Amino acid sequence: MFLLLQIAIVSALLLYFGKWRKSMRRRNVQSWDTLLCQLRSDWSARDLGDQFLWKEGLNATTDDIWQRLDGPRGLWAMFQNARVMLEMADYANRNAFPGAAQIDPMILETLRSDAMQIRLCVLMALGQYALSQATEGVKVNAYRAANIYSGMAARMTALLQDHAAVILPDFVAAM
Amino acid sequence: MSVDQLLLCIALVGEIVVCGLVWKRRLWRILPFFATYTAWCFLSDGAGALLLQKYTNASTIYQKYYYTQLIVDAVLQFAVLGELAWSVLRPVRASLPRGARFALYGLIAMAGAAIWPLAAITVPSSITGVDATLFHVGETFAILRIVCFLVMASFSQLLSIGWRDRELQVATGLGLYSIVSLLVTVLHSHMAAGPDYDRLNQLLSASYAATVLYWLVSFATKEQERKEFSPQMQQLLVLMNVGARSTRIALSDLPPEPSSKRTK
Repeated sequence: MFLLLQIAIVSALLLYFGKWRKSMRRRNVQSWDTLLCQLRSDWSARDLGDQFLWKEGLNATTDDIWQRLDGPRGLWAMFQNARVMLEMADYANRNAFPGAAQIDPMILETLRSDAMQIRLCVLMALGQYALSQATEGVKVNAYRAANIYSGMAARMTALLQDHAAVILPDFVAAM
Repeated sequence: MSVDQLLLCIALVGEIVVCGLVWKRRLWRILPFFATYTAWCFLSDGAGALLLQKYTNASTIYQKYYYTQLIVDAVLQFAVLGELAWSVLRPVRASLPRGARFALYGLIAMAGAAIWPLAAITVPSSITGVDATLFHVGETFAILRIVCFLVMASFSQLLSIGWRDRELQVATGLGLYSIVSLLVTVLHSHMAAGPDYDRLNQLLSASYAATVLYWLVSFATKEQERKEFSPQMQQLLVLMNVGARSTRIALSDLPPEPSSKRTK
């Protein structure tokens, strides 16, 4: 019985390892378009601000933001979209040509740091929410994550508007 | 030629080619301990094969050699684990405190120390003396490798940290070998010496040969072609970064305990 349990654990480890390996490999070969498609489209952050996507910053209280986020659902969507942004940074790091204008490594570092900040804020908020529901601490963490998130989304919109207007409607719809 | 000899020949040929590829692809620059480990594997396996031509595996000289190479192997494996973990942390290294690398090695050592007494439970009573210690060390390292890989994989998934192709290939090979070695150790702990016991050892040797061949094929393949990264995409990242910095500055101005009525 003990032997069977041990074999089951090792088999589960093998399965997890294979799945992780596959996801890492997929991540390393995906295209820019695939990355854009991974942004969550079933949840919209447009309620976060009156001019979400067009203006940076949030003009609301932590309570308001919590309601507009739709609680943990919105937090989770931001968590996943932050992952996509991190993968964008990795993509940039892998695919910038040495001869072309180099991306400042500090930019990538900061970008990663920001996206991780969103993920950590969301994780803290979700952890606190699981233990004590929507307390002030949960709402503050959610507010911080939403603030960074809305800023990134607004800047991306501005850029697409200037440089890639053709795909702007898709991006706006996805966000 | 016996199965053991065949597997040893495959491993030796694979190891020397892998060493050459590690040198050619300049992998030693990013993973120096792994490069040392592959060279060590070739040298120790080659020396072992030469000794076995002169002495039996029960002879004192071969036994002494075997124990010594096991210790060096364990130390190098420990170094490779730390090196892989450190390379996973590459994207966040800038924000880590000084001495984080040594702390990482310390954590792995502490994990090994915690696993040691647990691994002792599964050492079969039929094995005694030095063999029991070797079994214990082998089992501890098998579990430690798995624990390290689990932590690295879950941590990188949680924070969405990517792995470079070469690091992923090294981790895949070591991970596969670690899981098979753990499985073999688990099965060994439930059986006495005999033909089945030896067959499991052959399975372990076969998994090692497969790992070496996997590295050979992976390192022989050039890294993935760079994809187009247009100036617009670069501009996108720059713009996102500039704005993110201003957001962070704005957030740092917030009081530590903001009220729910605060507006930005």
